[in-house]
Amino acid sequence: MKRFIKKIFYYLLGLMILLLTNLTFNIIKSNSEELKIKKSSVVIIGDSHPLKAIDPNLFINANNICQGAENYIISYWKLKKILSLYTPDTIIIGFSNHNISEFNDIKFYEKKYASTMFKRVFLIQDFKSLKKLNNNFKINKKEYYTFILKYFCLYPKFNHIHFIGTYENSKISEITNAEERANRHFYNDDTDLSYDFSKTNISYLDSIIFTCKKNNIVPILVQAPVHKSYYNLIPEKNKNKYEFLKEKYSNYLINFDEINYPDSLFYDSDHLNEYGAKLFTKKLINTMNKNK
Amino acid sequence: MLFNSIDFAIFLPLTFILFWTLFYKKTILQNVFLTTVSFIFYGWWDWRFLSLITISIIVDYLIGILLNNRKGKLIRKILLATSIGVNLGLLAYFKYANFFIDNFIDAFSLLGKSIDIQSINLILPVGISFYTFQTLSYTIDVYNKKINATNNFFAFTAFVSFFPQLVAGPIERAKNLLPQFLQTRRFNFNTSRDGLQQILWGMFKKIVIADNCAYYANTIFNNYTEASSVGLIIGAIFFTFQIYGDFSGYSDIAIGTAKLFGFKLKQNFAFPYFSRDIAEFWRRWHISLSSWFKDYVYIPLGGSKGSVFKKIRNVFIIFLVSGFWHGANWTFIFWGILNAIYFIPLMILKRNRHNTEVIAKYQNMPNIKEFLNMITTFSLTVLAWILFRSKNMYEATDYIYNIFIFPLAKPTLISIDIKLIAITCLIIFLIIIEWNGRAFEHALKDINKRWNKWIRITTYYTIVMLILYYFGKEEEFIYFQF
Repeated sequence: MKRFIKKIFYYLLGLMILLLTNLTFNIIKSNSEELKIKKSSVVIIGDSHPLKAIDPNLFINANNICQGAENYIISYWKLKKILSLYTPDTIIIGFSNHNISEFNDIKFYEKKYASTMFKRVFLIQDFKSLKKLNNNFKINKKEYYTFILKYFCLYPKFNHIHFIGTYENSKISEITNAEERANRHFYNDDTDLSYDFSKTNISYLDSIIFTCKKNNIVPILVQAPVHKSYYNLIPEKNKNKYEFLKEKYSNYLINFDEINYPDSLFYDSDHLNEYGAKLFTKKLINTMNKNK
Repeated sequence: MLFNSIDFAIFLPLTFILFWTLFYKKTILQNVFLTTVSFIFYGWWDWRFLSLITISIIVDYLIGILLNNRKGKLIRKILLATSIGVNLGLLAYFKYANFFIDNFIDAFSLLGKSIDIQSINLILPVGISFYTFQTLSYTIDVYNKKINATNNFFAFTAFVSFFPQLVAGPIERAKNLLPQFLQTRRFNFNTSRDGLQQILWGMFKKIVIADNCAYYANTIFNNYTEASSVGLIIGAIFFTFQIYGDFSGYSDIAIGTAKLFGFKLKQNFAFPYFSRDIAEFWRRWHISLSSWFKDYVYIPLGGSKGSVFKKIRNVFIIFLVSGFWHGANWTFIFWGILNAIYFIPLMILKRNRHNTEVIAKYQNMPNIKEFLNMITTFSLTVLAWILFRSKNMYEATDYIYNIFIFPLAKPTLISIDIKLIAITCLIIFLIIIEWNGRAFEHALKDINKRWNKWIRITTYYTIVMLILYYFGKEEEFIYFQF
């Protein structure tokens, strides 16, 4: 028995040395890695909606750093990180019905999202403050520590910044997934009931606006167009709350309610394609110029 | 509790250390400890179903003793029927009730009559098919006087509930496993080392091979109408490796874990994809189930004795029952029938026992004939797995039909990226290691004698790093549902 334990110990020791070497290297590298970002005057933050709807190349000096499935909590952490480097003039923030859905609260808990989200935010996260704000907010600790162990220990990595996205789009137009998209955004798989709105994410949106004002940045909330087949499936409860928030943020909101784009401008039921993005971005720039 | 979970990674070393430090002195202590941890292991999934195992244990323990003590033929038959009735009754209710209800409704609707019977909302208890067959073999063997019933309740309970093989086999016979619970286990360095090597290889097969193949197999099977012939074939091949990695991986972990506690379980997989014909494949795939059906169904039916018609009937029955054992779905039944169709020509031509030795036993590589036979057998099993994986018979036949109508205009549904290249390389790695160890009980058996020390250490670390890299999805084992 002693011999067996001893043998295992030696094998584990070798493994530990290997893992610790990787861990040390990755910790040093991640702490010393500088965020290299284009210091543009306009920064676009949010999830896949503004990611696909706002083409930064049509601005004079803009950067779209959105990432799919990003909630306001992550957007806030990203903003804080950017502000530690420089202060942009304008921040454009995606603001759609699904952004206020409680669906955004499961991103750090549900397995299918958690490890991706942890990979993005481990350098900028502030889970302590999040917990302070809402003690009941669910964070999958097991998944987080598994991610940290795997991420840092397995092999040396040279790039640790995973929270900066970029504008990407295509010419595809396939609007058949309205039900699937609406179900994902507004209906809980486990209960089949519609999600409530997320108080936590709304609080973080407030924090983003507050931080912008404090730093003399102009915050602009933008609702990217969605296809009517998707919009019609949004629960009334969510629509009402969204309308209420539109009123609340009316000073920062550019309202594009009147937009009714044809199918050919949509990538799918809730995202614009390349053509749609061009048209929408031009309209956004015009409106911003008029409102100056 | 899943073998590929953090929970088990804590559970196993803890039970191992407790077993060999606090409970090693007395057999009864070892059995009580193993029963307790086995119940924790099973209850981790759903504690309510512990009652079902408890029923099986109590019924078969008592019936075993009564069978030992009674001489009357009738009373013995009644006792055996009670055991079979209770065990198969529970299995039938939890696993097959909805299948029969649905088919009953379908049959009536074909006759133009609609009947209103609601399906029962049931959760299938994990591993019910496995432990039911294990306890059944005990009472049948006691009835046939092949073994004596045990009076040792703790040994019997530990035998039925032994956690390494409780939920997905190997299905052990009382003759092999029960005596091991009646004697005190002593720690053996070589057995434990061998156990660890087998666990490591099992984890590799499950976490690295099966779970990665599952991604591609699921992508294609879930969208098969949109895939080209090539895509469909790739999907079926990925599922072929997925199910092998999943199930043989589980068996390796189970057998290896048992070795850590001083138990020797039966080999359940003997490198089946290197088989040269279907008969050989079935001697190498899920050996414990095949031999169970052979001993308790095939031989009582007459086996390979009697007329050709009788032989064919017996083969059909055994494959049909085997298919139905896997699940309450027509796809499994037709999977069984297809395998019977593969097997019967070999039996009629008396070629079913031609390949009993390991392939290319004294060579490094197979000859051309062996290689072609191996590829043919592999292709036949790939085709059969399509039935096994499909949700229903329509999907299965449509999938196969789509392979042969060559819709080349459609995409393969899989893009050639780093992930695909990686899994392909890993499958090749699996094949090389398994080929190298094909003459042994498992691929890493005795590598301390066969391999150079540094190659061995490098392989260990490579496997561990790959397991750690792919670990975290905690996908369930496919065979849990059976």
